[in-house]
Amino acid sequence: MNTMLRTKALILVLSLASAVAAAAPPPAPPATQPAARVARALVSEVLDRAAGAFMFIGGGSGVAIDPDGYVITNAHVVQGSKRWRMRSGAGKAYTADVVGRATMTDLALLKIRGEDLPPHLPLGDSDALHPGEPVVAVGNPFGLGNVDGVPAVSLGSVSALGVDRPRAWDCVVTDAAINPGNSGGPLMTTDGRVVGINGQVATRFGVRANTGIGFAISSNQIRRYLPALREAAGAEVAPGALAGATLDYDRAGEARVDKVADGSAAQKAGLRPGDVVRRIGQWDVRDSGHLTALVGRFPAGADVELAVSRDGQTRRLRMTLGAPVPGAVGVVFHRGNQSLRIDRVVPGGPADHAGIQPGDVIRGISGFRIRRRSEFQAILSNAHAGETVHLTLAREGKDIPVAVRLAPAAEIQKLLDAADKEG
Amino acid sequence: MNRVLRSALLATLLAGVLVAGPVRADVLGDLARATVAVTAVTDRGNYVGTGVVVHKSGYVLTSTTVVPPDAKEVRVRFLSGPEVRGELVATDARMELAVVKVPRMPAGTRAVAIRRSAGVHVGEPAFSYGDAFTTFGDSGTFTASLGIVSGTYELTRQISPPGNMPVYVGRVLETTATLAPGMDGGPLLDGSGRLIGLLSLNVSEARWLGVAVPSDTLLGPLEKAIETHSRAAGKPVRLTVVDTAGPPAFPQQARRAEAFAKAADAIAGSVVAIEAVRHPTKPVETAPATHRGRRGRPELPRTDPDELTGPYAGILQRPDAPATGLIVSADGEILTSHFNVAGNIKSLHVVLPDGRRLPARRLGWDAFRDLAMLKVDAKDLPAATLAEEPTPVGAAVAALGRSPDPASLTMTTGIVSAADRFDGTAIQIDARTNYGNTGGPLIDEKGRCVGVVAHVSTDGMWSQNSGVGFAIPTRSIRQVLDRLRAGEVIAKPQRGYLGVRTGSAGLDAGGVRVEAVMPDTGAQRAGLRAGDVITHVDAEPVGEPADLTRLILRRAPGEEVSLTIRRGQSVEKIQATLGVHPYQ
Repeated sequence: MNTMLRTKALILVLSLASAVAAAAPPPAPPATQPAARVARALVSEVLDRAAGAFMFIGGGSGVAIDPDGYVITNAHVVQGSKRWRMRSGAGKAYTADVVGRATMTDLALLKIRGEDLPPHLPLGDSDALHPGEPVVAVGNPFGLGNVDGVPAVSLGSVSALGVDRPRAWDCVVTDAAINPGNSGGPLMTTDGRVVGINGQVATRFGVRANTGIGFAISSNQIRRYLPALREAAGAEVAPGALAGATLDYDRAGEARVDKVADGSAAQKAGLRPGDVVRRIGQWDVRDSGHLTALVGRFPAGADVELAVSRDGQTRRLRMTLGAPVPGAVGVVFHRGNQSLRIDRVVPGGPADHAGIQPGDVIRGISGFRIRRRSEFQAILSNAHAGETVHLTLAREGKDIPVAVRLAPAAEIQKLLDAADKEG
Repeated sequence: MNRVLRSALLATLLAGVLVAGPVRADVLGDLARATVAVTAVTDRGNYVGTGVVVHKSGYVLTSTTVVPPDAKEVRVRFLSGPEVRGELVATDARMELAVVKVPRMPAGTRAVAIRRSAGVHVGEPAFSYGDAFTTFGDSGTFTASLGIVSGTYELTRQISPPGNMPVYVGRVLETTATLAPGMDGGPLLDGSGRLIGLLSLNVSEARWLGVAVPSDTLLGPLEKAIETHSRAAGKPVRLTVVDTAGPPAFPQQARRAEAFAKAADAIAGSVVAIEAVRHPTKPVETAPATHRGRRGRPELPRTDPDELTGPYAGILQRPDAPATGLIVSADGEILTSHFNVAGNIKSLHVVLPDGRRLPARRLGWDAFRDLAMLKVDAKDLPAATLAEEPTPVGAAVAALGRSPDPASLTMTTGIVSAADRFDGTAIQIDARTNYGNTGGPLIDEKGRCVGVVAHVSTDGMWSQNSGVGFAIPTRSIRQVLDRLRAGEVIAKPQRGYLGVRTGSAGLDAGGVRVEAVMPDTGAQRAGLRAGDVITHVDAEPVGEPADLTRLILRRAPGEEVSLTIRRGQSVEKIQATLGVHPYQ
């Protein structure tokens, strides 16, 4: 596969769709042979259990996960709205308030108003899954259930675990069919436990339909964010970051701390320049990019244990994670219009390192095709320092993919000021 | 411990207690230790993909779409251990074959056994394994997908994405297991984990499912390359090749696959190919905005793409390949999807499994149910019996087809996802459906015909096989069967249509936000604009998009509705005349 195609093979967030269908009573089950009966029994049992807890929210899906009326879904399903009306798969209507959202990991938690609460499905342990295990996705693909009120169920298997994607850390990958409208809906084991909520689908050549690679945000990722989401009082929950530590992203095979800011959380935790972070929480760290992703598996404010190598010894440190620092690419656009043509590249900034040149036009970011600067800024506003964004540039009539590791916005400003002084 | 190994260990511990039956996860564990991520450096840029170790001395099988013949450098990453430089031993771009030798491999690395593909049959379990969408680079894990061998046929053209390397043309194994970008060069394995093919990027226009170059095609050049190279290096080695599958990695999957393979045999004689040639159609003005949403989302299945033109008409065209039908009477009545025979037909033929190619004519059709009845002049044909009982949600089903090769049956398996779609006339299935198998039977595990596959997505080639497919169940077929036989053209129900695409904005918006207004609709003529918030239809409040859909569908075309809208700060009332819903 050419790397050009990799940028075309977008990972897109599932979104909302509306459609037309109508209801009729479900038919009675007939008798069948053992293997099929096992499959059907499993799936229909899962669906029976799921129906009351499954929620149609807007054009997407959600699921009630505890007896107090908390419903989990994707942040991109509830968008900016504070209140939602939703219907369960059993046809009951509820009104719910968004109590917390974590846009960076695409989670939102709602609480249903009133005393009449739906049944719930328990969150399972996603770390106990294994590749090949059967899983069931319940959802509202293409909005087909909007009118008849019936969710759809698809059966597949676990393809991979612990996959980190932009906007989706610690994912369960599945080949069960998930499509636009499945967003926020549960991915379940055949014994009825929620092991993730379906969030993204990998698309082949830009068509927004399932190609056998779906990403569900794992139940354990949900668990780690749940306390913060409950307490958020409607606010945004930021992902964690090694606040104050700058990592060396150029080293292969290890995550080495480059700088530690004075008075920062990283310094308080005892991190020093030159430390190599080997473990965070339960996970081994492969390199700096991996560490950045692993840190996002926790919300800001979480207390985590780090294992670092220093002078040939392993030390254990405890750190309270900070919030991520806004990131920037380090380019200046032409003033006064929406053009994405680059006027200046900040010397020494990430764009400069990535070989971006004045005159290049940004055509795409993180898989999205963009035309306006406002779209570029909207997508970048969610990105933080240390994160890699994939840009598509137009240069001399060709599309060129580049990966840019974002630097702290404040640092870019300093570089820009310095360049202005010189210039 | 590594993630995949840990998963494999967990799987072993859990194997005894799983509801779905024991899983021999060691097969996936072994596979994880035989699979590599490959990067090749060329003057045109880097190529990435998957490879698999085929001999323990360090020979890796991959594809020329991953390692092109002119690669300057090949880098290989194993599940553990550092990246190593590989030596490009041989390539044969005609079969996408590339062989790489690595000087050393991490301890515990396995080699996969190769099975001759001659004995591989349609319906047997298969799985794919590889670096889908670079999950290995991002997260250190490969991706596994369970499926079946869903077809075997000849590919005659290269349907290669622009800018990509030439891809293999010839006999392929098709699979329902995932083949995503990055998995090319990786293995297609049988149910016991033996390699039966090399995952390829070519595809059939009738199917749009993943295919693999069969091991029998690869074996000659692969064995020769390794023998020559190893002899020259002074350490001659030979590949291990077997003829049959071993014990299944996923016994339950294997049992179901075998049951369906038998079931398909029982009805195969009734499944026919349909060849339709159309007169070139005069372009009809349509609204391009309606067939691709702003976000490019697929719209509802439509039954007559011939009516569509505009910028997307090209991708909506049917492939140059047959579709599928089902013999329902011994004297030549053939049921199929209306889509397959819609439009201005120049000639229509049915190809029977025995190779006879008979001219056919259309009897009746039902565009709403997406069914049509054809007739050929023949006697004593093996007619399929339509099942009496409905199939419940969750039931295992398989869709059978006769395309692209009328002589070779295709089969995709799945479950019933939802009952009663489209006014209760259709069921939703997650068995893969595409241009090729539309119109063919949906069977249960006993081989009974429980429906006919219909409503194929016409939103473009890659939206085939989305896992949201439809079939017309036998109960719904029976409601119109006699009328179709009698040559009746059954009118579509007329339903109201406003012509807006809406977005969900929650209760804060106090209504439903209009995202787009379709050209030439009641909504446009009434002056609705994107950004308007519809709060009421007549006196009834609109809280969410589904409310609006329900309220509009209740009305007949031609009726006038009063819409209360919020536009900026003002509240206005707008009268709109409903049109005819285009999708039904």
